[in-house]
Amino acid sequence: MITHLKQLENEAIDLIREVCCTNDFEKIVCFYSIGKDSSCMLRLFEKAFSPFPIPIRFLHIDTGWKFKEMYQFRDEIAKKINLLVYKNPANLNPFTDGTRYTDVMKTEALKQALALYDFKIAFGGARRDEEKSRAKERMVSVRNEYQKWDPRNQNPEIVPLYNTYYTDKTSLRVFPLSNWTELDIWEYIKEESIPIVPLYFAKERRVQQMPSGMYIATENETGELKKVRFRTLGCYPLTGAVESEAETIDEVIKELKTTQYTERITRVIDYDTEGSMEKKKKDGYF
Amino acid sequence: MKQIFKFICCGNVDDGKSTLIGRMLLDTGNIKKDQLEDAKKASHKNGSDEIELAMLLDGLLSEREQQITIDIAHRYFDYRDIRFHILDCPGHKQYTKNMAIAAAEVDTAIVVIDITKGIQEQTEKHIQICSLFGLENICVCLTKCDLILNKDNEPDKEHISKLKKEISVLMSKYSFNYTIIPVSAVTGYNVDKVLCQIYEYAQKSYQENKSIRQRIFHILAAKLHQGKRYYYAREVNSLEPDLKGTYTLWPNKIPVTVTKSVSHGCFQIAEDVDVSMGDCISNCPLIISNQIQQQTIWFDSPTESMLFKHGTRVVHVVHYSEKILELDSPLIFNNLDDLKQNGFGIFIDVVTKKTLGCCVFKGNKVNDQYSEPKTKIYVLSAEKITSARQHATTFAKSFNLAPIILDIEKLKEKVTADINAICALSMLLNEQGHNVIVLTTTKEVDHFSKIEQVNFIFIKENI
Repeated sequence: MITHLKQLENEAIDLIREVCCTNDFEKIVCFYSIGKDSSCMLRLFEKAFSPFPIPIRFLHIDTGWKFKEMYQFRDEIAKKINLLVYKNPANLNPFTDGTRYTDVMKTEALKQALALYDFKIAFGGARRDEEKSRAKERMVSVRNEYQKWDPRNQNPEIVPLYNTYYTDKTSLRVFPLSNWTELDIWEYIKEESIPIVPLYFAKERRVQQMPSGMYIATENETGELKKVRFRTLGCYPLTGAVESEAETIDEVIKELKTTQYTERITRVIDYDTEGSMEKKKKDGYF
Repeated sequence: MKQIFKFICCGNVDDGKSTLIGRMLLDTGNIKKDQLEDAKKASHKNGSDEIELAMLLDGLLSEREQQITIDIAHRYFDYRDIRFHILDCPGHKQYTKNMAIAAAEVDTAIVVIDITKGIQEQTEKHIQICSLFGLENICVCLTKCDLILNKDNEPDKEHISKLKKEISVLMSKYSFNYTIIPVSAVTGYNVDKVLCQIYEYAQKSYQENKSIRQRIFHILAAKLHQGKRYYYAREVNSLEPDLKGTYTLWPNKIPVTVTKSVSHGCFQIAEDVDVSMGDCISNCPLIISNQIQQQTIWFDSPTESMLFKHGTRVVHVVHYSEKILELDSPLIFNNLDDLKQNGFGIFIDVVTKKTLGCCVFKGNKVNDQYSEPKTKIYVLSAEKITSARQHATTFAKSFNLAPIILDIEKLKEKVTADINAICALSMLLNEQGHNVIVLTTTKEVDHFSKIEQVNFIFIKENI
């Protein structure tokens, strides 16, 4: 018998293979965010096609506002995979442009990139345990011609008989990590020795406390020095740090088993309004 | 070692499914502070001072506003050595299809019945769907017991036993292994019993799975690497990593030996055989047929041209009737009652590519007589020309053969082939002793006239 982690890995590999084998590789892309989930996705793709190289391209939507360590990590990874980087020329600023920043630099940029390369199928590392509207999404999820998600009219999905077809008007988003939890991701990183960005581990860093109580990393020397780590990674002005002593994978796993909060408390964009992730997804956000 | 166990929670709308699951998650310590805060805010918005536990699950805005569940919510919690994966189903009649697709994935269900309302039309419908998909275990939870308290503050026994009797009459029509537990998700009464019951089902399933020796692989691809051929397949019930052993390759029923398992679902075969997507290898008998006895649940109306998918095989539907499904190529399958995971398929509309229905295979017999024809009929045609495809199928049938359809448009794109390359392909297939039918427009027909043995069906250009 196999462990639950192996069962999850098998499910993900089966889905990746099925989608790729039934479609044209040129039309398929995997969204790469530099985060821990993306790192796991990369490993799953490697395993799915071993001993052959990964046949599809990866895509990073850059905003210009990621952490320095993330860019360094990305550039190392780019040596091993076929990575496209796309940045919306609109070049908005998260400090001054507010919620429009996420819409333009992430959602719009993603749509522009998919159109530019004519991708019809995009893999993503989203998990159902991340957020309530994601808990409702199919593993193979249909988007309309405007890249929008219609939660009330989803294609029936009977696992593992995935419907991997699209039409001229529709495209697909595929989520192999749907049934993984944050803890599963960490246990997998440990089991597979998957490299991740060092920001996930606790270290003394310069941070600034926001009115909501959240700590945000600062790039200058004025911030307060605190031992923190990041549970999720995104644009540094929009990503909250948590106070932590967890410097190793084992310590992170131990911390997660006792934490009182989910990882989404560290993401600023989820807290705009009630159901804000659902609204963003309907508009085409990953 | 942790194992995953999936189950559904279903029953009539408003009978308290989401509330019960919310309570189970809360009691097993699987709800975090911020999720609780979020649910509190949403409950407050709906005019409630207490936390409505259902708010922990109903995630879509329209669900919260209408206080109903529209689509399946997937939730996970760890309890002892099991990772439970709950599929919380909508109870509303309009969303029955979403309940059905969840039932296809599991062996166990919690069916909730509001004790103050008793068995409803949707309760019966859900139990019927559970039976269609061959579920084994049902834990019937009589919810809202806090509303029928007697003067000793206990749920009214008479009330409970009356409903229990009605349930046993309903259940006698089916062959489930079932238990009835009166609960109150609001107060937490008996929720621990439900957890223990589900845990017991999980352990039973774990023991049963351990004894399964049937192995079936649906082939996805075969690729050559440094002189070695690698086969990629999806296993029907993948529980053992080692694949080595002797198997039968379907549909031609050739014995093969898996000499090396490379990774999950990837292996090498000793024999030099032709294996392609949609084939199967197994160590147990399978049914092969293109006339299938079945029962279908339609999510949408059936359309004129439909694809059918089972395993990794996708074929065209020739004719559908309530009992028999006729396909243009055979499937390799089991009856649902023999092996659930290999006992159903889906209908997909050719044009919209929507999943239209789920078809459960029932009552088919193993046909030892079946053998794959040596001569194949290849049909070169454009995917869109469905009427032509039907002509071709009829034509092929007169030879008692199933046509293999190659999409002429896609061939042109893929091989950057012009019409001459397709002519060459037709000739090659012809030389190999196959029959080729070319469905072509009148404009292109001249090119094919050089090949003697090719049969033509002419298509008007404007189709």
